[in-house]
Amino acid sequence: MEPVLSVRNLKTHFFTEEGTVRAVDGLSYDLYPGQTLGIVGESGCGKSVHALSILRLIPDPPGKIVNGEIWFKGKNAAGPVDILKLPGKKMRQIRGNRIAMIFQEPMTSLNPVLTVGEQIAEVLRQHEGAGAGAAWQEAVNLLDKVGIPQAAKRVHDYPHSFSGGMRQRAMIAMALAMKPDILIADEPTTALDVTIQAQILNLMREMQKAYQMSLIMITHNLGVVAEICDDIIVMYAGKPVEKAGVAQLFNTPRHPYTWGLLNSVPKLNRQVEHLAAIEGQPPNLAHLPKGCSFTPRCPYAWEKCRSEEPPLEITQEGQAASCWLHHNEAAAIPQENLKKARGNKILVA
Amino acid sequence: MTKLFEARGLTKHFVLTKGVFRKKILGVVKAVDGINLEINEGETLGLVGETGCGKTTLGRLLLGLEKPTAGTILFEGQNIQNFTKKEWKKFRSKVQVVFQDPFSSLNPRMKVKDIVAEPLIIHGLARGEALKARVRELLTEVGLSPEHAERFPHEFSGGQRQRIGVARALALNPRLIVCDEPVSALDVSIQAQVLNLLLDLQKKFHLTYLFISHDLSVVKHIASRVAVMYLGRIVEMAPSQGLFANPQHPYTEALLSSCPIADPALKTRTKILLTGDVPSPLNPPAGCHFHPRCRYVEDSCRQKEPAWISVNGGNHGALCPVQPFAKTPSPAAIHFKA
Ligand SMILES: Nc1ncnc2c1ncn2[C@@H]1O[C@H](COP(=O)(O)OP(=O)(O)OP(=O)(O)O)[C@@H](O)[C@H]1O
Ligand SMILES: Nc1ncnc2c1ncn2[C@@H]1O[C@H](COP(=O)(O)OP(=O)(O)O)[C@@H](O)[C@H]1O
Ligand code: SF4
Ligand SMILES: [Mg+2]
Ligand SMILES: [Mg+2]
Repeated sequence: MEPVLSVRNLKTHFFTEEGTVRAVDGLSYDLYPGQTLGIVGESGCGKSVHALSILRLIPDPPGKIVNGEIWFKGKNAAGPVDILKLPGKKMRQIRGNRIAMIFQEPMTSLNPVLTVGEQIAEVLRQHEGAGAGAAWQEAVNLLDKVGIPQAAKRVHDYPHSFSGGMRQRAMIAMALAMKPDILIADEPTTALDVTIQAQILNLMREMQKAYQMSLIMITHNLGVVAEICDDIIVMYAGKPVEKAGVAQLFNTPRHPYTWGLLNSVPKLNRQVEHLAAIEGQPPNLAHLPKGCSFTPRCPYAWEKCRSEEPPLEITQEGQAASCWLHHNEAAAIPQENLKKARGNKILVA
Repeated sequence: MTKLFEARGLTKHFVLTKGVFRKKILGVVKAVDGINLEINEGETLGLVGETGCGKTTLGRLLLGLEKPTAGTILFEGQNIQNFTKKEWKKFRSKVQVVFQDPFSSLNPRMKVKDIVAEPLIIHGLARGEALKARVRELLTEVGLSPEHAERFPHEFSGGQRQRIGVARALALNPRLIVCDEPVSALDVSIQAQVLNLLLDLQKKFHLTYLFISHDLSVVKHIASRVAVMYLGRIVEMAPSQGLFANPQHPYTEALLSSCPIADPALKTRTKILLTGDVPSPLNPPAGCHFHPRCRYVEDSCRQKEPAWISVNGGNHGALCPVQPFAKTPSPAAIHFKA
């Protein structure tokens, strides 16, 4: 199978007074039809900037995609095109049509002066060339499908009279109106209550199956990751530090940061006395330390980590981590650190 | 076990009006609607529920920051409404609060040392060198360094600001701290630092916490007892272990079931999904507030006020006469063995 999206060494930087913010700094991955890829990391690690880069919505200035290729191949396209090289008009077609995005706060992307129905119908008219009557009917259908009660009535409402969960559903309906190849969901449930979150996740899963979409799920919630993702990229300070299948990520995390994330959040299905907190704070992307960005917070760090940046190393099929612990010979790991890493099962003995 | 707080029939209604002169009543928000509750010395009572269900309002009532519409609050056996001025002042030093938003809850124009010292000065408990020493001690206690005293809040990260808030709350040696979503605004990797700090301080100073959160995993980790709120009412209350392993109220069951679990092996577990939105606390549904979303609903639920039923000597109770304590463990329960 050919990937629908291939991101290659993407670098998006912001040139600010404080210095160059390396928001995304060397991200590569392949996304396949029907796959759900999770992008996980703390706030500010570059998740949203990565998504906006795919859609070429980076505000310039201060931002700029300074390096990389983003190859996109739609369902009926002859071959892949590099999104970053497309003329503006072609890009707009892809953006509104083949790649859809939903945001954390749906109010920012719904138009407050148009009814929900008008907005969805407009998308259908533009992308499907549907007539006014058919578009309206389809808007009602879609709202019904995403679980808006009394859709035929609510379709006349303005977004502000919808609750947060209903707005998110309306956003999903609008995204689905395009029947996109890729849906990028940026923290789509973070602002919602858990009972509503469960409904929305369920909806996204069903819709994805029905439409054979690829889904990029951006979140900081490991529960959401476990529920919905096939594969995951863990980002730290603009870089992918680990890539893994969902079971690998939770059962055999290989990067110290991933391990830290998994062990610092309380679990519903397991009780621990003391959480293994990650010390320190996320770094300032304008002033990254030399070598591995995680060094100041990493319990295993040694000289090598402070001087040189670790490349991604494949640790087993389908999994890779960028950490010197996985470059044994080249990195000359001190015995003590080796022992500790084995103790925490970051390294296999 | 000493009861620190005891609330009976605690109620707070906000009347929403329109117009300046001839006020038209738009409706009544029943933010807290007849709550009975005890908080015991040394425990952490977790308070969970979805947005707008009244958690913060309940916390503010207990802190004396909000006047109840009805009901009584006893603190150490004394009705707080009958407090004299002097007793109020004493009460204010014994109950403290840590807020959700570490960015707006600290005065940006005050130095850290002044923020932490303020309650000590107001209560006339220390001055001069003793005050400075106490501030240094408090900052160290919460994992900051004494050098931080001279800085302003904006120079700190969210997690550090939350530590400053905790230091200030500790200043007067309180008995109880209301923690209102203290980690919700923090990054995942920072949440654990603050949770660990709160647990350490509790042990060291024998603190009692009312811990408000919408995050069930956090509450499960930190609370010894849990109260679940839905539209102004406590619908279930039990020791943490009992609540998670054996939820009884239909809402608790759905809430636990909805919560994503960070374990892909449990991805395909049976889930109880609620339909519909959280109804507004403005004119909530009659009878049991939960009935429009309840899968066990019976005719009586739509009209009659639900009764509180409890087992285990009153330890585990639920506000619903239909389901609780009548069935085998629910599908939501099986994944939550303590
Ligand atoms: N001063 C007020 N005037 C009118 N209504 C109010 C007032 N304070 C709170 N309310 C309403 O009371 C209800 C409960 O509010 P409260 O802040 O206690 O909820 P909460 O459970 O803390 O929610 P969240 O999880 O969002 O913090 C809400 O509907 C809220 O809008
Ligand atoms: N318009 C902008 N100007 C300057 N810096 C920005 C801008 N947008 C994002 N950034 C910076 O890029 C980094 C990554 O941001 P973002 O991708 O939004 O993080 P998240 O992972 O939380 O989605 C952050 O350091 C952020 O401050
Ligand atoms: S490279 Fe070194 S500092 Fe970075 S995560 Fe690995 S052990 Fe830690
Ligand atoms: Mg973001
Ligand atoms: Mg609140």
